[in-house]
Amino acid sequence: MRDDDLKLDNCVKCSDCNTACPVLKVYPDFSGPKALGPDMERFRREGVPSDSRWVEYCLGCHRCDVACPHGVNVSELIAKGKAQHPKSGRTALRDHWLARPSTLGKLCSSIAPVANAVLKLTPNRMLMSSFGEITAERKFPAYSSKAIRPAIANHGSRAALFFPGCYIRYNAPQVGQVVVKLLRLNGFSVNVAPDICCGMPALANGDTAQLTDCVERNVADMVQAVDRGAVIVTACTSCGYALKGDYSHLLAKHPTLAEAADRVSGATYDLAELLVELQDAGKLNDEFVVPRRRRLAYHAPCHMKSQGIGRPWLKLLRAVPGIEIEEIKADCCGMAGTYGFKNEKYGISMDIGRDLFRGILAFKPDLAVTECGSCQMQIEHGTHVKTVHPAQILYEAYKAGKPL
Amino acid sequence: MNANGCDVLVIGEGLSGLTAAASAASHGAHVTLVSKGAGNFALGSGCVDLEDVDQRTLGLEEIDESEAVNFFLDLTASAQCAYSGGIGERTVVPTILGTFQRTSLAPRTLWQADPRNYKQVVVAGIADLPGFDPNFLAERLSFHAGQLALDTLYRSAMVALPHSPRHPLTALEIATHIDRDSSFRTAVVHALRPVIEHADLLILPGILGVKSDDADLVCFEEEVGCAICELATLPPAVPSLRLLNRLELHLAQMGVEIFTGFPVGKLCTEGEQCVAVELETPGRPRRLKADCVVLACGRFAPFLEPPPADFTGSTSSLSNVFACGSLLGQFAPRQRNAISILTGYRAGMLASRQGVQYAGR
Repeated sequence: MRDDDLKLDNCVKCSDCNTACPVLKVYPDFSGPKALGPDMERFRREGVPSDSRWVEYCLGCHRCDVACPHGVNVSELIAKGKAQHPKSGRTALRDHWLARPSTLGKLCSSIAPVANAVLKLTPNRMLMSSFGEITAERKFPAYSSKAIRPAIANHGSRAALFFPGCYIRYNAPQVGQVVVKLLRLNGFSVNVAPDICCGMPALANGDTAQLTDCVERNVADMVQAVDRGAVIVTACTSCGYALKGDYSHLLAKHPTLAEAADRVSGATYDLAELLVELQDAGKLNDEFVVPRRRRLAYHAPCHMKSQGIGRPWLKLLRAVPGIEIEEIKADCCGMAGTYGFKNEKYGISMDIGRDLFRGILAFKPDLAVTECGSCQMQIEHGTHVKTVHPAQILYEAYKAGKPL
Repeated sequence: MNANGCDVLVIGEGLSGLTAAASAASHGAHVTLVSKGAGNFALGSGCVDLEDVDQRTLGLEEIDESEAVNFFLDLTASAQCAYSGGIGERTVVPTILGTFQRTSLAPRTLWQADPRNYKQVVVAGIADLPGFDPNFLAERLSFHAGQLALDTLYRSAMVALPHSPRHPLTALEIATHIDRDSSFRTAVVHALRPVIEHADLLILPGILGVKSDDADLVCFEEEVGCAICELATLPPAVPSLRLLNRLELHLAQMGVEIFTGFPVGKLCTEGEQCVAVELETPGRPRRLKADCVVLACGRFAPFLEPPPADFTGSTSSLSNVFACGSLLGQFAPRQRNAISILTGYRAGMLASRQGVQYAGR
């Protein structure tokens, strides 16, 4: 019997997954993870037709997996449903492009000033909404043509391969540069991984071929660095979760690549996870300078929670003098990468975020912090509170750091 | 305390694990609670029956029953999900099958539904909410009250709540809606008021919010104008989910670190000590160091092969590992919650003594 069969049989219909689902909380028409995951998988295996239209409304936040007491791979089963769900016309075209942020990023960042000007134009946004099914309510993140520079090795330093991911690489390279500098300050020599997407947007948009392509290319590229002893570092929690994922089912035809994938995922660290390990060992560079008083509202991204690394940024930033940071416990922000950009999902996305927005505004912070680029966009959109990556806060505490 | 470690690490988030974590934390230990997900406690009505729990056969005679029970009563009261009842007290409460269940402790709103206290009770169903049939319930409860030589009269009513007509309702949907939308909550109050008439108790499916605390429930009763008893429905049962939420929140306030979502892969041992616990997290296992470990994981934990069988609390081979709850043996379902509280309280207490002792060394 396959492992998957056992996992499916472990579903005892306790509905704990439904209690954790952010979409179900605001949109009761949605059938919920229990019905869309394990229940529909049973129909698929029996060849019984079922209504799969709601799989498209899954955020891919993985909260159902975390909630399940019995280890059922709920979100993986929903993703399988997404991959098989037929799409047509404008939606299919839109999702094709949203699944390829790396291609879009390469194109737009090479002509950044023009691309940004066009993306900002109201008529263009109306057009994108009418013909591209992309909401005109949100601003597209601006593209940047700046490249993230590696940091040259010191003798005796450890090697890190920084995987910026598409958002940091094309939209927030200044954050990427801060990550490199933080690693450098803590004894790492840093290389930057080539521009291949982690595959998470492809998974979220039901594009298995694109996902497989991303995974294969990433593993083949990064395993060399890993085998030379480097750690892979991410500062985007969705990329991190994707790189740590188990893709044995996608790589079944390439046993050597599947083995390499295990080594890559085993060597992947979230930036804060790595720094907190140094902190626990008493090895974190703590030459913090003049305290800058900051009251920060922290939001824990879903894909950080699903990595099982605790709350490393809270621990790190609480060690910095002058910083007051509290987690606003309000579940998911509702953005889920490309989800919140889709016309038909914008409303749901904002409804999900409402509790978080209220929590942040009630806390009256100087800044909001979260390590996920798409959570940052959503919080700024919903609260108008400036939202930054926690790495930026940590970096400004060092002597080398400049104020934000 | 270790870096990346704690005095006491509790495995399991059922009733025994929650009690053990609270007990250890109240004795001054720095506690981490790990679990794969909610335990079975979150599926039931939350009743605790202390009758016929034979402590001697369990080797539990050294547990002071009243100390453990009072600890639990205090815990739930401070978590704003107060229990009623106590040692030597006993009542009967209705179930969703229209029967009466004997119990020694129960959440306040359930406890107050003792049929001896009422002459007229109304059972209100919600239109389009399957799994809770007020006619069936009223008829059966009247019959069973008669069997208890009581003349309590149960009558049924049906109320309609505003909702999307495209699909049947669920208790979770109503509860979440009440939590998030005060105008919906008001609509629920207005829908319920007319069915009260002369009744002095209203029985409802569990719907009154998954985040509400005791004060919210009292407020709801005042606005409706009647005492309210919520019954546990099919999973997810809102009243027990709410209990779990309140207890988790309270534990966090007590300083307990809660780490849910990942199964324990193995216990890391050195000699006769368990020094750390490995969680199966994406990428690679996560190692959490601990001075003492409390096993509150039930009988089906793959990392416990073979299961430890020492009923005295400490497992036979590891001197700093304590067990509690249904791991300790096969018990009658009716007794499990009581045993979880008694053994959870003791395991937390023993572990915290050892843990704190190590920390001070």
